[in-house]
Amino acid sequence: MDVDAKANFTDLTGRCFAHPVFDYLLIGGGLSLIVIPAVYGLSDRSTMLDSSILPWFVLFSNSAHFAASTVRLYTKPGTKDSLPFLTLAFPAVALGVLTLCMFASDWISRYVQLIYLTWSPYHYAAQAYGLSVMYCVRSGCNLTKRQKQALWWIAILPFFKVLIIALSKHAVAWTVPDYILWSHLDWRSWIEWVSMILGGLALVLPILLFGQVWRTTDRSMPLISLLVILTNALWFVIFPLIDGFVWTTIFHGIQYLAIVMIFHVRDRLALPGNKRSAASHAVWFYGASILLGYAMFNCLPYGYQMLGFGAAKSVLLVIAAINIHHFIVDGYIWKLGRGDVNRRVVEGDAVAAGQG
Amino acid sequence: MSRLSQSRRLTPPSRSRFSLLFLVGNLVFALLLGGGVGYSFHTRGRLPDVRFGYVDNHRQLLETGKQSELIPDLRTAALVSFDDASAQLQLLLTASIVNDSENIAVAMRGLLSHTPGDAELHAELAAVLLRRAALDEALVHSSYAVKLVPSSARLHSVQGAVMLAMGRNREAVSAYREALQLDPELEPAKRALAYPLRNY
Repeated sequence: MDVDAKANFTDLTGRCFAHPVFDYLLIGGGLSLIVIPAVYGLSDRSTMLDSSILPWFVLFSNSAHFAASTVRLYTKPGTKDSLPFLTLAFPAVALGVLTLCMFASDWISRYVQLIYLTWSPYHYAAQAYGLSVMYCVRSGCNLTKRQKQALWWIAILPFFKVLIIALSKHAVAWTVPDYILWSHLDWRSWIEWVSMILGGLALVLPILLFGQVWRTTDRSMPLISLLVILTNALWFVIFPLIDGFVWTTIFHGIQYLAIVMIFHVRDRLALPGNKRSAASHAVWFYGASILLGYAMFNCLPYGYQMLGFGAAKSVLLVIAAINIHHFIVDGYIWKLGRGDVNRRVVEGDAVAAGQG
Repeated sequence: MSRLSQSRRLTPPSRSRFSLLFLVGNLVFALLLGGGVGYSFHTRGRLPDVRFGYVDNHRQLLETGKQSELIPDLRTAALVSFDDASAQLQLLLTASIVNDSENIAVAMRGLLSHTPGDAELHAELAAVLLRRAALDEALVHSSYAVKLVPSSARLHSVQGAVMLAMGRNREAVSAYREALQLDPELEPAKRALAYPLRNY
């Protein structure tokens, strides 16, 4: 391989955090392209969903990822000073609101459920956009303001697809009178068409934007920036709503855990008095996330059952509350503001990329 | 949200209030967790399972034959977790066993959100609503069922029954005649035209 070819290959691969294989599989979502077809191709899907393995898989990826944002909030240097409400008061506020919802669950629960189920795809899409831009920055690809805006709207197309389906399936049914809902007007076909078009655009437009950036800027977008957007869209487009949710949620969790642990480990290693290895910081962070995930998802609902609330109500509302808490916390811990430690982690290598 | 971003400018008294809230919040959280673990030990003799709780809880109640105790929780699951078709099916089965038409209707409405084109389910729901005297809603679903599968005699017959219950006898006759055209042996239609609608 000559020098130019090697440089082009590095440009396309981008500057990874750990190793291209690790970054592309876990953070880029490439693993889902292998695992999901394997599950469908090699085994009966229902076997996997019914098996006793799935709850463990959910604990180690999904529950741990929700807990990881809280672990990160309290371990990220400086957050207690910069975000006192979020770190000190917000847990009590969240717990109070959750308990109030338990009392009014008959009318409020399904709206809480709808909020978190529609917020989820937005959250996944926003994370995909954030990661995509982050890899561009690290790799020295300077997107213009317009390109960033285009990338944002393209990244959140899967959210609009889910939103339109969820609203038409549920919120409309709760608010629109029956005689309109089940009238001769064939509005469901229109919804299907719009959602199909949105799904198609979510898969085609990222590739077109990649090509446009390739033609107009000095450095191309790294492929991982494209991959992360495409894999987030793919499962919502291919599968029905619930299946898309299950798969996207699992691989979003893995992606999240990978990136949050990288940030945590780099912060810890940068501390002046650090004596522990990167692996031990990673194991500590992941262990704490699994424990907290188990406590929140599996033990807390029993606490509400102890107080006399029903099992379904306790489990479903606790899950909804943890989701919403996670989305709010996430909106703050990933800020790349001036002086934020996150910026150091991202820019640390970006400077090198610019020089390279 | 704005309060969150303004938090950098907190004064010491505000900060101490937040710290107090932090202590209270964590204390309540710890009590709920500890209580939850204790409750799980007390009721099931083991730590909370890794699988989310309420499915096992429902199974346990089903196995002990306490269907009526199960219905309120299943109803919550079917209403709150509106995409959970298995909770809605379970509610449908359990409510059918104890002949609880209100919850049968709740389950069927939930199931229709997954399969809006299921004409049989619309007709079944119309029949349940008819028994509950919810005639306007019954009419909506029976009409929609006929629209979906106009060649089904049974669906026209359900439509006829709803019309008859509403006192719209001429439309009932029309629906029953349509049903008999499609299936001349359809007993409910023959009976309805022979007796209550004899003079129409």
